Amino acid sequence: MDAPILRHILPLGPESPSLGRWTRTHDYDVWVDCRAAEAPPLTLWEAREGGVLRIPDDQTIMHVVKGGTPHHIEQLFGYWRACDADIVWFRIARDNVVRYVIVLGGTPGAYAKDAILWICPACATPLDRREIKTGPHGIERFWRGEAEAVADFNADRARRACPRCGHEHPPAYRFRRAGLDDAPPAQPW
Amino acid sequence: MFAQIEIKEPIEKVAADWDLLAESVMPHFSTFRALGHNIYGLRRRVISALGVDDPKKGNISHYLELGPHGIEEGEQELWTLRVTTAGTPHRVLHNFGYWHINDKDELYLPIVSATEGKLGYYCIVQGHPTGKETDSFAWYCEKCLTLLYDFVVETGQTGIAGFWKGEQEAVRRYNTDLKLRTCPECGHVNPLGYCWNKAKDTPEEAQARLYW
Repeated sequence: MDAPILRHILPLGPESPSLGRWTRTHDYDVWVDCRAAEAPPLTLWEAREGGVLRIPDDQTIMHVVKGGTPHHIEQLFGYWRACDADIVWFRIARDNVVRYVIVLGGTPGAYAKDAILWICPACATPLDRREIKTGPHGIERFWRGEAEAVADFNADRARRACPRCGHEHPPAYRFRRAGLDDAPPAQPW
Repeated sequence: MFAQIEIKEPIEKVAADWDLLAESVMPHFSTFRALGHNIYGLRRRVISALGVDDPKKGNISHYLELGPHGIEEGEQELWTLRVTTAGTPHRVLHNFGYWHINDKDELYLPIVSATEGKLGYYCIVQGHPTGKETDSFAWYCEKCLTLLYDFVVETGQTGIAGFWKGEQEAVRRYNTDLKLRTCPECGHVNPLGYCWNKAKDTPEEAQARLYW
C-alpha cells in the first residue's frame, strides 16, 4: 500500500485549483467543479429501457449511476459513457454558484472496463460503441480511448447517421476537463 | 436534444431512490448502508462556517490523522471534499472514541442547507470492503503514541453488521481492562474509549466523549 496522504482536501470554492480536474485518491477518481448559477447547467442523463432519463437539476442532489449504466452529462462530454464502476453525482446550488462532484470507483477492480457510445437522439437506436479496457491503468487509459473514439466518430459521417431513421447525430466532444487543449465544441450537447 | 426519446414518466416512478438526499431515502443511510460498489453514511447536521454540529454530540469538526510523522489535525471546512486515505488511522473528536483504520478511502462532503435555519447534509462515501479487507478499532497512547490495542474485524466477510458489533466489542474490551489502557512505554493511563452511537455510552464513556 502507498504511503497515506494526510489531510487530503479538495476545495470546492470558485477559486479552487481543483476545479475541472480529476484527482486520484487511493480508491477513487474524483472530479469537482464550481460554476456560476447563470452558466448552462450540467445535466445528467441515464439511458434506460424505454428511453433516456433526465436527472432533475434540483438544488441539492446525490445520485448514484449504477455500474454499466450509459450516462451522459450535458455540456461536459459529448458521448454516452458506461463504466463498470458506480459513479456518484452531486449537484449543489448555493449562493449564485453550482458545485458539481463526480466520484468514480470504490471496490478494488470495480473500474476495469469503460465504454463510449452514441445513440440516436431521434429514435434511440445504438449508433457506435467503443470498449475501453482500463484495467490497472484506470482513467488514464480511458482518456486515450476517449480521444480516439471521439475523433473516429466525428470523422465518419456514416457512424453518425442513424441506420433506422436517418437522423444525423451532432459531433461528439471530449470531457471538458481542465488542461484539455481541444477547442471548445461549437454545439455542446 | 433528447426530447423525442426522453422518458416522460415522473422520475420517482422510474427510480424511487434517484436522490439519496431525498427525505424519503436518506434515513435508510443514517448508520451506513451498502449500495452497489460503495457504502454511504448520510446524516442531517448543522453545517456552517463553524463546521459540523451534531445535535447530540456537539461540534464534530476537529479530526486527527496519524501518519509516519505523527498526528496531523484539521477542521472539516465548508465547501471542501475531504478524503481519509485507506490505511490511515483517523478519528473525529467527540464523535467516536478510538482510532479507526480501514482498507478503504473515506470521502466526506458537508453540504450547507439551502434554507437558513434548516439542517444541512453530511455525506460519507467509502468503498465496500471485500475478501480479507478489514476495519480496525485502535488506541494509541495520548502521551507517546505507542499502540495500546488494536481490535480487527474482517468486514470484507462480516459486512456493516460486523463493523458495529466489532466496535462495541472493541470498546468494551478496552474499557474493562486497565492493562490495555496503560501505556507499556510511558506508564500513562489513557482515557476510556466510546462508540460512535452516543446512546451506547455508559456515564463514564459519556465523560470520556467530552474529554477527547
